[in-house]
Amino acid sequence: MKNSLRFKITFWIIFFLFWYLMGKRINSPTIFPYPHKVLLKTISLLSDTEFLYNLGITAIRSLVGLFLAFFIGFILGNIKNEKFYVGIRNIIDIFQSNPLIIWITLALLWFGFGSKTVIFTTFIMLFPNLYLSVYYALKNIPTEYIELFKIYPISKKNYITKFLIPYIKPFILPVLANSTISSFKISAMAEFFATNNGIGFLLSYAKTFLNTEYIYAISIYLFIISKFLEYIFRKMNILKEDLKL
Amino acid sequence: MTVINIINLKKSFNDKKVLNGVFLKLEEGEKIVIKGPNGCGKTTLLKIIAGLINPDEGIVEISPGTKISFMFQNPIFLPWLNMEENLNLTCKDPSKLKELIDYFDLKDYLNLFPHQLSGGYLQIFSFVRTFTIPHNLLLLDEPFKSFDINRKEKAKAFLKSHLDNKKITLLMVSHQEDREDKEIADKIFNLF
Repeated sequence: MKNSLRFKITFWIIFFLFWYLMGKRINSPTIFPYPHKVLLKTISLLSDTEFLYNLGITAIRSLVGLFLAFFIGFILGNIKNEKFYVGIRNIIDIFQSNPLIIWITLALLWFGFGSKTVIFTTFIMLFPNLYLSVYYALKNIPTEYIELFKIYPISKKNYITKFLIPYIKPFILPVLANSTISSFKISAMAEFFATNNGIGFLLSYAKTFLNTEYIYAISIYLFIISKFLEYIFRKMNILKEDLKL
Repeated sequence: MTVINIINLKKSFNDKKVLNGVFLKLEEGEKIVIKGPNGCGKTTLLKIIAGLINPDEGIVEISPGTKISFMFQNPIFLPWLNMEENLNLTCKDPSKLKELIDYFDLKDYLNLFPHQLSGGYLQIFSFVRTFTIPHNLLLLDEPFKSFDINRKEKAKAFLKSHLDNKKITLLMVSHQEDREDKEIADKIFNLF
């Protein structure tokens, strides 16, 4: 057995053991349910159509927010004008300096209760990194390539497909991968306050009725989705391999 | 007909004067080699003529309708394309490309990527590419730098025949005192 696998198994055994002992010590399923009960709840959710439906809604909202952030970030990132960049950079500073909850509150005021608020919040949180990755990748095209295409001009189509996209890919894909992973979490958080469906809403609902096992089970799903996406992106060599023991 | 007329050209990089008052005139079909030590501005001069960098002062007149081909000192190829794709990307004369691939016996290397080739081979491919676009002014920046003796002779022979056949003006930069410079050039200038 590989060292890294042995370490992972040991880690999770200790983790669940610690969880079990804490549950026993606290002795309150409302505050700290036992791990096996949470696991049973997690498994039972697989056949819960309401849960799956809400999971789908969150996925769609996060993908729409991600797509808008990437699309607008890509278009604006292609504008090389320095004054335009400084303007956008100032807007990005406003986006990044305020906590997520401020944007959810403002979006609630602007768009009201529902999907628009979730999508807007996801967009606000993802746009800065996507825009900056495109802008800096294009800004830092090595002079040698610029000189090459001045002497040996090629068609616009070839420039985009044979040069620009392959060149920009290693700069954008890791950011896009991380944004995809984050989008789900951001959407779920926005849903907590701003919708009456989606995973975030289920969390809010479960909290109201102190359905702690349900909250733990949902958080396990969010963890699994995040790790699954990370695994896929690592397999595709978009994200670098993590530290291995 | 004057192809290039350079008057009092000056260029500095970070306060370091690279070109300090260069005058140069090239007539159509003339073949000139410029020599000089490292850092004397040979490459900068070629790049200014090619329009790749702007001078600080002076006049660079290129006769209208001049088509420039430039061989860079360091071969530039896209690392994600193999050599065939790299050459096809910029090639405007496929028959010339095929002729040169055969001439330099490069067929077996076309499927390789730039990082899989030695500096010498990249230099040959760069040399080949120079002749695959329409040109009547050829700017070569140390073209034979990394060639082995056999390929250097072939490249030199090809260049000579290429220049003999057409009214092509040549401005070549060379570092060392190479024998081939005298064989190719009408005049040799030193840049200090």
